[in-house]
Amino acid sequence: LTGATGCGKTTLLQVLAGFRKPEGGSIRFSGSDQPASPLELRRKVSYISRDAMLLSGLRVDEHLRFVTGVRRSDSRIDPAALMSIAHDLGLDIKAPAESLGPPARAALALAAGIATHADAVLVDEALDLIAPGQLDQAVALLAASSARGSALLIATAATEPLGTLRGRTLHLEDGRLSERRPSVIGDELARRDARQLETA
Amino acid sequence: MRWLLWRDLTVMTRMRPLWMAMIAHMSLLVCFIVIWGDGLPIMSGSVFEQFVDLQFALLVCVLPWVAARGIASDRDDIALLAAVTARPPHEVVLARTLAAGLVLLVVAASALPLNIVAMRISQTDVSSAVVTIATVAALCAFVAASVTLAVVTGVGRMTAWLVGTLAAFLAVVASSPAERAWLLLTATAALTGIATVIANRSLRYLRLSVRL
Repeated sequence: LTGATGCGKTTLLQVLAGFRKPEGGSIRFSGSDQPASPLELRRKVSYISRDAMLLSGLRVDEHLRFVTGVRRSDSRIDPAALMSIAHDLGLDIKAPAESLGPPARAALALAAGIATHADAVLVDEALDLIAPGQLDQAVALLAASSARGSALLIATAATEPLGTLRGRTLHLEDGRLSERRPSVIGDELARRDARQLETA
Repeated sequence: MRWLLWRDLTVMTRMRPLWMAMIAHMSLLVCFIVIWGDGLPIMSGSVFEQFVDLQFALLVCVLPWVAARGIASDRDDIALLAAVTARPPHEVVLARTLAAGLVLLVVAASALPLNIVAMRISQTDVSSAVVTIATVAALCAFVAASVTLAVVTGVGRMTAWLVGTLAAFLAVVASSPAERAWLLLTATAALTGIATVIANRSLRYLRLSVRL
């Protein structure tokens, strides 16, 4: 999901996640005939903001255990797998979560969102904030989440951080969504690669 | 619910005001025992009765302050927790009330050895001491419920503290010691019920002013 800053990407994602009340219309999930309630949406959708929320008083590992434990109904949380995700994203698990800088907070939000194994994962510009060294890992974790069956919607102000992820590209402008050709991002990357080759 | 309770207890027990309140509460009661171990001449009743009166006066001041600091900065915090954890708002409110009640109980229980000392000094029978301890526990639950309700209705932390203090003061002053525990527990149940209903109605969605 692309669009200029302030065009409503965040609002759209938060409405889809059941955080905000839509001014009109309804949200249907996974082909259901009935509009989904906010609680149903929250249970099925994992919303990953630019900043991990509810950080006060918890360490990184405690925050991860809490968010995944409270959201996952199966309650079979593998602490080792959780810490592995945190490690992949360069997080210090014993650090107070409040003390993290913006890139680490985005990484923590991403780790918690992925670990909940939701039916749909909405990433709200978190990838734009991730430290460059962890970006490949973040994209790989999202790809693995997608391979497990989670639908993935990534809002981004840039095209390059999408890296190896491929899919449909929706563009939001003046409150309207339009679909861009699937290959737009791929084309842009290909053109950039070609330019670099020519320069070389 | 257990994860919400675990989180709230973890966050609250790491709060500095909790330990400050506990130390202040214990220190003043220790002073009473050490300095006026044979009772204050200006107060009536046995040493134990004077001790209990002083303890209630202290708790009416201290407990709402700890509760207001620990329960939430505002109602949006509760709405956000419900949204992020995908739990209904009433569950978040219940967990927070329970956690706050338990934390306040820890503050009150810190003076338990002193209660026993005062009981021994005035040779009070165990049954009246048990009633007193039960009443203190009921006061903790009542303060937690009243401050939670104040926060859920949308007032700030300072107002929630004042509301909690006033409610605790009125509940202690307006009831006789014999019926105080039941009165406090009944009021706690009513306040918690109201808070959960308000939470489910008004904290279903995040307000537009809440930025994530």
